[in-house]
Amino acid sequence: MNIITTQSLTIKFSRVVAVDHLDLTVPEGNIFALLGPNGAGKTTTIKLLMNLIEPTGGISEVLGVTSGKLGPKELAQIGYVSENQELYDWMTVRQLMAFCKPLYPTWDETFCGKLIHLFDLPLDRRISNFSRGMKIKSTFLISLAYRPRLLVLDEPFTGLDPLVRDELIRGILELTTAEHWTVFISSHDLYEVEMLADMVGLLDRGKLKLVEPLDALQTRFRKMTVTLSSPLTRLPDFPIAWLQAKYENRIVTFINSAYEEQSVNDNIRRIFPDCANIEASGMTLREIFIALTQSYKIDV
Amino acid sequence: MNMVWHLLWKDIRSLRMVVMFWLGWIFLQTMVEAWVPAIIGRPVLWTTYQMVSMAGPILQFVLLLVLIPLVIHQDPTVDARAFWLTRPISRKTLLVSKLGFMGLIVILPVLLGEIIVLACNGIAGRNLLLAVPEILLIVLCRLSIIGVLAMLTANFARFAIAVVSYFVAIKIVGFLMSIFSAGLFGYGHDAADSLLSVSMMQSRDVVASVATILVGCCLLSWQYLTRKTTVSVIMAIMGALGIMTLQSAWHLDFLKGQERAPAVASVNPDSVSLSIANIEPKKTPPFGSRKYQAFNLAFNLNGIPQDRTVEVVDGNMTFTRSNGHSLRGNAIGLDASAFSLDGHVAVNCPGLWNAVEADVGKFRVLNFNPGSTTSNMELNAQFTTTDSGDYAQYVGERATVSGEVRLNLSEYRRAGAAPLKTGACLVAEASRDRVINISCNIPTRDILLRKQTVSLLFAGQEKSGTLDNRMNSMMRRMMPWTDSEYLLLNRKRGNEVVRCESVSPDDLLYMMTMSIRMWKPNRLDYVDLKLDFPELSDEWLKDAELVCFKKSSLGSFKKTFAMKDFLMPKAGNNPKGAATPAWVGTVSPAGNVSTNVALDQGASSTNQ
Repeated sequence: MNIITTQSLTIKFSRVVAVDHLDLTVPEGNIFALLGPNGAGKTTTIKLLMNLIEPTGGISEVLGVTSGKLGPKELAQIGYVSENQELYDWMTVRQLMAFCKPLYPTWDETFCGKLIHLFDLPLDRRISNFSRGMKIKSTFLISLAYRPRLLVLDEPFTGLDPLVRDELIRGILELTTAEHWTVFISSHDLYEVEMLADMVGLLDRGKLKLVEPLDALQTRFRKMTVTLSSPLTRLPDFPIAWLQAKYENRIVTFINSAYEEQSVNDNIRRIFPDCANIEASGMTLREIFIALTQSYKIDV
Repeated sequence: MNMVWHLLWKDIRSLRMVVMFWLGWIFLQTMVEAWVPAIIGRPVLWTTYQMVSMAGPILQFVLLLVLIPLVIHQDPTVDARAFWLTRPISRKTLLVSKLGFMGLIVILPVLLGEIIVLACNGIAGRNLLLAVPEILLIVLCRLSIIGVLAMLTANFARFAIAVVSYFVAIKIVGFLMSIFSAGLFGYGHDAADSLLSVSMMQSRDVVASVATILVGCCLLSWQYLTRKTTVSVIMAIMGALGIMTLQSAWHLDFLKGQERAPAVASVNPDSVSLSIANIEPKKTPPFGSRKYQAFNLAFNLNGIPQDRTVEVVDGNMTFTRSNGHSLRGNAIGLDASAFSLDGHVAVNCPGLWNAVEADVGKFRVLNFNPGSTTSNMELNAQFTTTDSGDYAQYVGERATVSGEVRLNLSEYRRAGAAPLKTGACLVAEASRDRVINISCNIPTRDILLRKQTVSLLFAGQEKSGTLDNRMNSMMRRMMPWTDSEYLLLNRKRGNEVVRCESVSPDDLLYMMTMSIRMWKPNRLDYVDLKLDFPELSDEWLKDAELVCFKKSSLGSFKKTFAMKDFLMPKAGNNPKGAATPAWVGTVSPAGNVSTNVALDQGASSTNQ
């Protein structure tokens, strides 16, 4: 079952198309990371999914319900953490928990206790006196304690120190694995996303450029280094899948976005008949992301 | 229901300091309005009370301006960052919780406070029940406006900007409407308003308030249930314009006192004669435009029964020039009785004296000399040109003046009495006048009585009262003494009577009070009737009682008037030799004084 589905989802702000005909599906149990540069439309997409803003076109469904009709029943199964979300900061964490508890029929007091222990939050201090990291932790606490089916995280790690990030990621990973939750996350922190995500989607200027399981993506992308017998004076025409090609003397480097060992080697030897050596190294999600976003800019 | 209470309690806890301050202020205001006036004796304390009393409604409104946006902005509808939006809180539940907060924290305390104030001022039973919709109307109207502005903004700073913008926009639209109506009807919006009767203005206010509440409720519901802010803003603007238009166009005067049958039963209109005694243009054109000219008209009236009083309700007049061109004018909503000290005419009010005689028997008036007979009365009326023609260009021309006035026939009846001592309460229909302070400044012969009046909009009086001495006084339109006459009666001194005349302009500043003042007799110097106003000593005042006579309408009839060969004068410059009647001598000579024995006694007494 798909927890999130969008069809041709579009929103315009004046003349700017923030999300442009987005088609997306997130199966249940997946951790889906929506990536993209600043202004790509990640937060807007999440706002559309959560019915915080209305689309100008297309439809989106969350938990099988059109976003526009998300009611208390569905929201009771969704945990939402956003860097932009405002808390009742006059409350203490204890008061906030006491306020949230009656809202969620599935609120698990024991689990909540575990989370409190995990996040190590002072329960009787006002949230207004909290640091940013503590506020995010508080949000996580009240968004996880009722064991949501879907966890929507909008830039949850922005501005957090590495220690807190690691704590959170470790916690989420543990919980999602144990609870079989679906997580939809947008983030700039590719290192963390790489640790978390099963699937990634790349959004660029409102358009979804790529949706793929992270494993497949990392298998597909390889950093290629070709050593030639003689210096190169000019780059020959490359296949489309070869990105960011550069050369220096006898060394040619590029990123292969469709790596398949045999065919790539054959291609290289065809294009560079005096090829002396071929090296293919794996890429981090960060490197893939940079390669892709730069290639999209060049496309434009 | 539990969820509503859960959210409501969250808001109360969040705003507990403001809520406590609000409730404390309402409590204090209630105490001040309900009990303090009855125990204050010294003028200095009274002045302090008045200051607090004046500040009360203002601070209450300011607190509303703070409290309502704070509670709405706890869970804003226009901001996508709000916590509640991603939590299982239904929009309807949230709306009900906010309304519950307003009902529980704002409306209920104000309503209870007002009821306590009214009850402590002697209002009870049916009148107390009639006060409830009036109080609700005022509070809900304010809440609707503030609530909608708060709902359409995300934080207090934006709310403050919205409030300022709202009031500026209302002023601009009002100004534009006045220009529009001036072009369409020939007179300004304000001018048109000033020509309306008090009850009509109150009816319009009530209609506008009800419309504001309805529009406010619809907008609140719409925005909370849909969160379509752009549509809500458009609807709010349209609603505000619609309410203003409705208010201007409303013509059903449902607060008007019951019209009695034509006054033919009391007087035969054919036996009443009316003629112009004087026409005098006023120096200052009304409404700040030289196109419109106001005139003071004085009429001679004969044939009115002694126990009746007549006043001009409205009328129209036309100046027709020799070339056939004409200039029209009208008079409307004159609630002054036939008696007037403010203009150039001093005439008696025979109906009042007759009622006094019927109540106490023979009496002696100490501070008035009947200026005219009861059968030969004088009336004042102010007419204003309604044509957009400039009167100034016709100055010096001769014209025929003709027109018609509607005269209201009324009688005075004793409405209540109280001993003249501090704390005494004079009960008169829906109003309760409490004597707060009595001062007698012998050298100037002024007696100052402070009084409080509680009048109810829906109390069904012939003349709707104001919301004086109330915690919320938005609809203050008419001073409550216009249909009341107050006399000081000293039975131990052979029914000596002093007529109380109000009001000095300064008293208007003290919104909750009015004064009753004995005018010095030299006010009547211009009619060359110097009165020997006897000393009103403390002993005299000690034995006196305060008596209220209320005027009730018996119906109306119309009379026409005409004057040929009228030389249209400049404002304040009656030309000699024209048909304009001479001013001096319009008051009847002493020999024609009423046959009323009591009045004769008063006159003879003062002439000694």
